[in-house]
Amino acid sequence: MISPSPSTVFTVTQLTGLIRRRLEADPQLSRCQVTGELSNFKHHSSGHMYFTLKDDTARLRSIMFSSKNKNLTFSPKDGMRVVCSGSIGVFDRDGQYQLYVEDMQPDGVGALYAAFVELRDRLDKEGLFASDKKRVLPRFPKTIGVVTSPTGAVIRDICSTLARRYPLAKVILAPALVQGPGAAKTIVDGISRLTTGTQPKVDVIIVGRGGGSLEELWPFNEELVARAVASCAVPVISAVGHDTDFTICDFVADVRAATPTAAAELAAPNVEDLAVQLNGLLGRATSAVQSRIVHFRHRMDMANSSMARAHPIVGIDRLRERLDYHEGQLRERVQQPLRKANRRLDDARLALLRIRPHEQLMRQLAVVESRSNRLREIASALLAVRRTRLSELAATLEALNPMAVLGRGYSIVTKRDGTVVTSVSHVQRGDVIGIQLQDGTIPAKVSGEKQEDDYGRPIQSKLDI
Amino acid sequence: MEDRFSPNLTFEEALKQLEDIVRKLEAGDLPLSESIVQYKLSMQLVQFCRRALDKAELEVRELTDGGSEQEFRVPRNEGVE
Repeated sequence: MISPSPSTVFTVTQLTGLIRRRLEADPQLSRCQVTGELSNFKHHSSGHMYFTLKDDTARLRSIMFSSKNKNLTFSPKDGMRVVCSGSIGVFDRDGQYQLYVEDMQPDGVGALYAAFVELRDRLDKEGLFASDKKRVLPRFPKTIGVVTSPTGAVIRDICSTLARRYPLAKVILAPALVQGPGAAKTIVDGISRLTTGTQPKVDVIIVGRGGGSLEELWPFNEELVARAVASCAVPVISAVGHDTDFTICDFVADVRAATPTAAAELAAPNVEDLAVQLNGLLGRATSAVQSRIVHFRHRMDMANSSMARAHPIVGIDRLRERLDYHEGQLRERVQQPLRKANRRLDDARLALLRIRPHEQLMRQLAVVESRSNRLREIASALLAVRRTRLSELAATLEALNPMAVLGRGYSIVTKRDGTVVTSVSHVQRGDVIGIQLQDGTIPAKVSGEKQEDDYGRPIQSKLDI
Repeated sequence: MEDRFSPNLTFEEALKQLEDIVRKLEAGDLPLSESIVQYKLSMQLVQFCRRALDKAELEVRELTDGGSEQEFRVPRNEGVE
């Protein structure tokens, strides 16, 4: 077989690459918008969306990466007509060209959507959605305002949820149209009627509507509603549409609820939780008081024991104790010497008894006796000697006695005063004298003058023996 | 802080007062007699709150065009939006 023109033989990869580059180089295909109906829509767990755009005669495989689809303001569903913008690319592995979707809008509402985006961005820039503008919902709303249709599931769901969870609340419904021309005005009106007056009638407002298309939800995308919500005197919970259908009202509200039921749950606590909370509070109060009582009892015990220590009785007791001590000391100090003295006395008595004083005395007496006898003997012996000697002396004396001379004729002349006259000069005439003889005295009187011897001496009688 | 129980309280006020009392009791600086008084009050408040919870029945009113309130009958399931 001969080829008309000898051309390069590509590998599949090479050829697919060639196709990819050719397609991707086409400016019309690299930035295009396409309208079609969604089918085989899959929101993969990776976040990417895989779907087919189709019309009556053609199909276009499409992919919207999670980085692009996370900003979608609606949830794409099979059968939904959408307008996608993006670029055509080739997925080499499958040999498939496909649309890489940058943005997707529900079809037929392009103008509305554009208005929505424009208002959203403008209000965002203005700061109406700022998180620091979000007010905290009251914990225990006494009155809950609801701006919604008086008929339908929204008010019913809200009321049944509140009846179940928080029947303490009062619900005031401000009936409003929630779709169609003039609806926005009634919504604003409802908000204002619930909040005007000196005191807002309600503590929190739920603005609600069930899900719907962008057209149906449109009143909640209108600026006057957004401004009414933003300037509302009380916090606003927006429960418009369903989970994925965002409205401007949702952005501007203080809290966004996915459903009316969720809005009611956000608006008020659950009485069952409250009952638990009450029990918890009572428990805390009880244990606080108990620990307080324990605390005081402890202090009381402390005070009591220190008081017991400080009690005057205790002082007295302490003094008594000291007194007892001192008394003991005193007794010890007095009695001990006393006891010691007694002991010595006893010892002495015993010693005394041991030395038998009576016998001693007798012994001594015997000694005395014998010595006195001996003394007596010696004395009498001495006496005898002396007496003998005395007799001898007496005899001698007798021999010497002048009186004895008288016996031989001598006399002794004495004066009246007894003095012996030994000289003639001792007497004068007239003197009375005594002349003592052997057997008596002759009184006499001197009658003459004295006679002196030749030598002028009185004549002395001499014994001429 | 109120020392006496006022039966004119709303549930919210009673709960608030109860919380205040518990905080005060837990702070532990009340004199004993005062904390007993507060504890008694807290029990009264709990009782009051329980009764309020038991007997509560959701009241639903509707604003009329004239600005007054009137009874509102919550639509049943078959109601349409």
